[in-house]
Amino acid sequence: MNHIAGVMFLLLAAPVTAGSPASNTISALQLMAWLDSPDPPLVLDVRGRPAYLKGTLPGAFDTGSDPMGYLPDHSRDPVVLLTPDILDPERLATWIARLADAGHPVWLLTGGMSAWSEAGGSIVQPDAAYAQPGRVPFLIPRGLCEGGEPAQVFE
Amino acid sequence: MRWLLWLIWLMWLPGVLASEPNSEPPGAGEPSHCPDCHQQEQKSFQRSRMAIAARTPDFLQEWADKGRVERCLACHAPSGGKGVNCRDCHGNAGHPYPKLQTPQVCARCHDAPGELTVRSYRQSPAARRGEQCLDCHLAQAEDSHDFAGPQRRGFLQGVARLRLSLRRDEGGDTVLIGINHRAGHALPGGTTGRSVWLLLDTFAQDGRRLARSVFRFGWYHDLTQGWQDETLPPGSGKVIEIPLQDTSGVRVIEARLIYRFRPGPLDAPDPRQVELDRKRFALPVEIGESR
Repeated sequence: MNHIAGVMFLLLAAPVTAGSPASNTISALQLMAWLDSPDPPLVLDVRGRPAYLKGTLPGAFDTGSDPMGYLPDHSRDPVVLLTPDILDPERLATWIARLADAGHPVWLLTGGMSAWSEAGGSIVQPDAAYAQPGRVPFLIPRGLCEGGEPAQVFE
Repeated sequence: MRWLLWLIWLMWLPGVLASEPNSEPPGAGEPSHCPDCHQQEQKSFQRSRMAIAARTPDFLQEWADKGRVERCLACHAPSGGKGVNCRDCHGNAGHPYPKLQTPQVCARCHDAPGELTVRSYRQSPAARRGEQCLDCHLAQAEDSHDFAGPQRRGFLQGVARLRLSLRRDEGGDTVLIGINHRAGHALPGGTTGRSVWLLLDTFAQDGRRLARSVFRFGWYHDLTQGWQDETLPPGSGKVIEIPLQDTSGVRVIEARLIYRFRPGPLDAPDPRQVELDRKRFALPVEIGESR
């Protein structure tokens, strides 16, 4: 049902576009449904590094708090802004304009992190979970099936 | 006289083949009469990898390398023969066979030792949307049993995508990479030797490659912590931040995501590997000149 709610939301609301001074908002529940869809938006956490490291939305980019320090791609993917509880309206407008100019439809998460948390949204600690050959000592599987050991980790 | 030698050689040949160390696992094979009535199901199933799970070159090679371990056959050929057969999934109860429950029936092997595909599915957005294994892996006519997987041509097309942008910090520039995929389970699914690799290259104005960073997603064995699962989870995927050590002269950043079937390092040839996505990001001129 969540994805149906997400699709309904997308049909009923229109995102912010270039030149539009008003921001379009999305609730935490609507965002949860959208993130569960096959085409989720990109969440941009504009609260700054300390807040991001403390906990953020799954899949969110830490853009830094200065809109001029973030270079978006021109993929035209929809983005959702995760802002601090108190954000200077002028700075918010700059964020929206910068992203809209790059072709991104922009949405604003209503209530920010606290609303997300209250709605039961998952919060992740950003990590660097990957293996980088040459950096750390590790072995990658030599065969396609390693005798059952990996599965046992999760038993 | 020569014909007699030929005759002796021909009689001796089958015995030689049967004693090859890489020979196929023994077994009774398909014992049922299912195809007598279910011809379409049988015919379509024969196109799937499951039908030959104990005869693929990958399996035969690895099975031989590991000393022909009997327990491998519990999934690759539960009833013997070339691979999975009707009764291995549908049971031996006879008609009327109960309707199979997914993902439970799949979990018998796809959560077997060496896999966690079904376990990661249970935590996925696909499961929350009510999608089932067969929605992707048997998206054919109702009577088809032509199970498709990543080795099927085109199956991986559009399954994953990259998002690429740049953050300018006081201490330097950082590339932000997001990896999302549509698989209803961790990527790569299947057994532990498969992997997804991320390559990040930087290029100069003249197209010269300046640097490359390589990242691997899959299982690896940490020397102190044992086996670690670093596959790409379904749903939110992964975000990676890669500081650029030196951006002088950098004009283009390119990220590529590659799915590999062969175990081992990236430089081991894998003719079946598939590029899942590629993104290029052209930097404004002032970026490369400002540091």
